[in-house]
Amino acid sequence: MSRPLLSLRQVRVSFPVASGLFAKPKSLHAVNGVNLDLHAGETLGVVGESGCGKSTLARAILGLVPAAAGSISLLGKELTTQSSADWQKTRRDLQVVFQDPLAALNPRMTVGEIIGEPLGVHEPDLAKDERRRRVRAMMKRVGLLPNQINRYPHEFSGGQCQRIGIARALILEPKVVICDEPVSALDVSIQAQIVNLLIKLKHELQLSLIFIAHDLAVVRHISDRVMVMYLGKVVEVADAEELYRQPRHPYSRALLSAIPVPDPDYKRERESKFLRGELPSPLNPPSGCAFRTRCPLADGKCAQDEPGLRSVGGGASYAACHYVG
Amino acid sequence: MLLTVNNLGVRFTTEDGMVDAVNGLDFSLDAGATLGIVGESGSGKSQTALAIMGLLASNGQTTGSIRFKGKELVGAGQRAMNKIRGAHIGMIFQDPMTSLNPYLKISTQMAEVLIRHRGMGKREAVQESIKMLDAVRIPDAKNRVNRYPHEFSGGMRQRVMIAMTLLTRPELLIADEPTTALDVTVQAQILDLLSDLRDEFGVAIIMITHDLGVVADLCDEVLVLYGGQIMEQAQARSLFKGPTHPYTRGLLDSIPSLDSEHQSELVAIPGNPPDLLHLPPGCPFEARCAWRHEPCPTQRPMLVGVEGESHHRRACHAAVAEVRPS
Repeated sequence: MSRPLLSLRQVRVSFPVASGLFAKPKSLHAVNGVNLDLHAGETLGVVGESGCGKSTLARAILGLVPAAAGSISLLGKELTTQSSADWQKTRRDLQVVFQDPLAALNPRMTVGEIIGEPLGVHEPDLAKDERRRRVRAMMKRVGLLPNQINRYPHEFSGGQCQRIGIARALILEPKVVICDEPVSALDVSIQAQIVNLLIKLKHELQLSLIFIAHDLAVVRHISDRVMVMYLGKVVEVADAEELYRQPRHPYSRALLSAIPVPDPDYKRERESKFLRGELPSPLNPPSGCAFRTRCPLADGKCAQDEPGLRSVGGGASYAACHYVG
Repeated sequence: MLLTVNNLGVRFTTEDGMVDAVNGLDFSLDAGATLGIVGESGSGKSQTALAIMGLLASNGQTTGSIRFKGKELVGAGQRAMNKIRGAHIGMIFQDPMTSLNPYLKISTQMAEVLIRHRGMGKREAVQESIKMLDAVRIPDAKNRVNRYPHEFSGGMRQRVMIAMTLLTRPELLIADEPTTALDVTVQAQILDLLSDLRDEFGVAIIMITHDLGVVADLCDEVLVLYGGQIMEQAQARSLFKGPTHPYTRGLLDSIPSLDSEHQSELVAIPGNPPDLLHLPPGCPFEARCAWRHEPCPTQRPMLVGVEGESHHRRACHAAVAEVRPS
């Protein structure tokens, strides 16, 4: 297989948490030892419940929060130790689309200024006319009318604002785009429009996407591979269709069985039922396997040994569990 | 009939003009039944709920009729409504944290309901609260009743809200997007709980949601709203198996299912949700509809029964056979 575009090894992101007035602050490991490879033209979905670290992982890759340990490399270049001048160069290749489209746009800038700003930063010598031409072309590409170039974000609906956010991310022709819940703030009838747009753009511009979402059906639809996270760790990675057809890790199984399906005859296999309990505190994670406190398969071994990701089922599926295989 | 709504309208006076958030809604609900109200933002689903509760914002006005156990609620005074709210109709909201008072222990907040509506003493009220927390499956209810809201997780807070609402044994529970802020595994637990409580307490439920999966999971009957109007109304089964309205069909088609073809193009509904300030005189969905006919822009379609099916109504000029997937 070709060398991955983006590669993470043992990445950890920690936040200090005050535990008392005079006590030494504790560390909360929001992302704890994550490995990940993103190949050219690939879409990697990241799923998990709130608090699993999926957004923190995205922010770490983007350099918006520092990684406490581990390595993140893009196109062979180490990002965790580079200077902010180098970061600026990196951002040509690495862009992001955020969840709340309206909040991500400056209300005092016109659409043309918003989409064109990255060009102003990275190609300051570009003639004004040329910049405008490229903004218009990008607007057309994401399904906006080029004659709306002088309008302000509040004049657009949520779906259109997300198109503006996507246009801004793509104007520099990046190689990797991280989409952090790009459709969850949109109405159901609009979500499909944006998902279709992302799939189309990915092919046209040969993008590699990291697609973070809690809507598992959307993630399956758009992703080539899917990574399931729990309490800052990867519990399973597999090809999208394989994962949904046959989830291996007990947490993946519970997560998938909890999806409400728009079919009254479909009875959820209440595997989610055994997911009694609550997400443990990330400040004080369980020993051994992080999922063991809610897992139906857990026993003494799980409390002692932390299972690593290992190949299961012979294919390209990896799960971190002592009892699947 | 527990609840009968006739020609319900909700109108807001705003700086930009009149906004008809809800326009001519008719529906009814039997005791112990579960009705799903589905719609996107601006469809009028939440305003319908607030109108029933008499909780519209001060610039809002309700017209038409809402009869609860034969009693008219539209125009009822604050005092009468206060008796009905809490004692007979309970409501839970999307974000349980903002519905609970962060300064008060759960026990204080729950007991208050019983002291006020049932005239119980404090000790008895707290005992009853613990019983109800048990009923919504909060572990160790006896101790946790003395905690503050921030000490509970999102799912547990929503359980507390449900328990608090059920204390007075209401006949009707209105749930406005109760699981939208929750993770899927917790959502599944709350949906299971609501379904169990409906059977245990015989409470009727109006479930307001944008998620068709949630409706399919819980509801007997479904209303699909768009632009403040009913597009389609049916038993959950016939709605999901044979939608007859272009909007319902569009919604069902646009959701990627777990067995749809991977990375295929989804059938999206084109365009954007309607602007309630400038609703067309005809069908509100007309501009985005693939089955548009000549009268659609100007004549509002009537809500009429689908031939050969009881409890199935639709508001559309196109014929059933055109729209219904084969």
